[in-house]
Amino acid sequence: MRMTEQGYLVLLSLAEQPRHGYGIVGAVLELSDGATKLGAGTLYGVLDRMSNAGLVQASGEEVVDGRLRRYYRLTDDGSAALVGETARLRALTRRAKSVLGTQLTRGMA
Amino acid sequence: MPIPPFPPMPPIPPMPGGGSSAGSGDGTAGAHLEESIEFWMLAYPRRWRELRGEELRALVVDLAGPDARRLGAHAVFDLVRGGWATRIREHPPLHTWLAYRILDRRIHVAYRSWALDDIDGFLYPLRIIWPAFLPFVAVTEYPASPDGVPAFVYACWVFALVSSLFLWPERRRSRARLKHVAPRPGEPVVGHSRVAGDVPHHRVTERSTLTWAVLLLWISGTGSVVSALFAPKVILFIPVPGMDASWEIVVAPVGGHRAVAVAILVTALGVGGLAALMARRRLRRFLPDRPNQPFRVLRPLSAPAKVKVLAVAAIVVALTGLEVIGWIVLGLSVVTGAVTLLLLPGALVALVVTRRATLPDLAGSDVWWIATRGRLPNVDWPVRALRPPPRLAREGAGVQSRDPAVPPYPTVP
Repeated sequence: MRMTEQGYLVLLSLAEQPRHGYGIVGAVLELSDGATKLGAGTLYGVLDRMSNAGLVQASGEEVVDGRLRRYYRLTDDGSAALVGETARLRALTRRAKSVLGTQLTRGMA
Repeated sequence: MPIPPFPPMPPIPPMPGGGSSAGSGDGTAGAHLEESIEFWMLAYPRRWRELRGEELRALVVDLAGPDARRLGAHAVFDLVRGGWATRIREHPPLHTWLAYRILDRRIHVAYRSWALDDIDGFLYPLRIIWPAFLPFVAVTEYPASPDGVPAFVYACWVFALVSSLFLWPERRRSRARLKHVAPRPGEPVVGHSRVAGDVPHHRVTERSTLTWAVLLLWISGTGSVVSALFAPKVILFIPVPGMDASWEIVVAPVGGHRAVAVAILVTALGVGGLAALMARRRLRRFLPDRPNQPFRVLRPLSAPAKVKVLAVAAIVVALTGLEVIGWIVLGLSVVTGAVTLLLLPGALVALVVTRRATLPDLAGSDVWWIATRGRLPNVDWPVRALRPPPRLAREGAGVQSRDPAVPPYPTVP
């Protein structure tokens, strides 16, 4: 399964602890430094795909203020996919640094 | 798995366009917002909404903010896009869909949810019968006549297609559910799955059946008589001189053919009256001796079924109107009128006979059986249908075969 940036951020948000939909949206917002604000339809599309791929699973539910909140957590496959994708991004960053080395140093100066 | 206590979430600012504020966050505003969300969530498949709609709705409310009265454009777009993406994602691939739709091949386990939505959908009858209409389309469109296809042919198609929506038998849907949706013996029970099982035979009460039947027959009969008396056009099949088995189809003023139409209806009414006398005698004789029905559950006509009856009545009235103003030729309403007037006296008589007696456990089907066959109705047996798994079935347990002598099938992947 191709991992999108939104999918990666959702997996990352679940790495610490199980979260419900609103919690995932908040965590993704924080992780992306405010750049990615998931809508409800987008989030459940991502969760559906992740769930079908066996990367996340529902892990309980509660009712708060009369509203159902279902929690999701990473599966072992999900954790492995997250670690793999992070390694891939780290390698990409390393290559990008070597390509942009001089410009990067100049830009940061 | 127990959920550990979480630190309180920092508030998320409402989405841009997530909700439109037009006042304080009172109960009315909440109700407006809920209605708005319910409406736009229709973009999602029905089964998906049943399983996860509640949590999606809660999230949309949270994201819209406390003062939102309705969803903003951005949130609506996000919901609709998400709903249709889900529909497309859950739709079977073309070859699977064609095998299911045209050849009625059992659908793959991955698409059972989709199949259940499909079978329960209002337009399911149309989706099933459109392949059967293709040959008719081909025959009537080729060879094309200079005047084109007569309007009444199209009227017949539309009439048949629309009628199918309201007259499609429930048992066909039930059979389709069992074939395509029910797990086979040996398959594991998973959350929300329905299994095939024996359920009581649901029948409609005699009172409800007869009341609504008489209403429909009365409307249809009146419409056919009005049409027979006032419709201005008729269709004629005139042999072509010198050409064997060749007929010319012409639309002509009704003229003397009106008497033929009226005679057909009067004859039907007369035969129906005689049949009603016979039905009354049979009902009086057999009603007191009918058998107990331990596997039956009686209920009045359901609201959707009443809507269907009214829709059929509306179709009949529309047909009458089209014939009377001359848009289509006199014909269909004579056929439906003859059938209606044949049945109407018997339905009225049955209504009177059963109203006079106290028959709390009588089904409409019993009345039909006795009146048409002249003998006692059979005992209803439980029917096979989809139902939630038995309470004792644990997650992952294999579905049991109906017959203990039959070993379970291998698990379908």
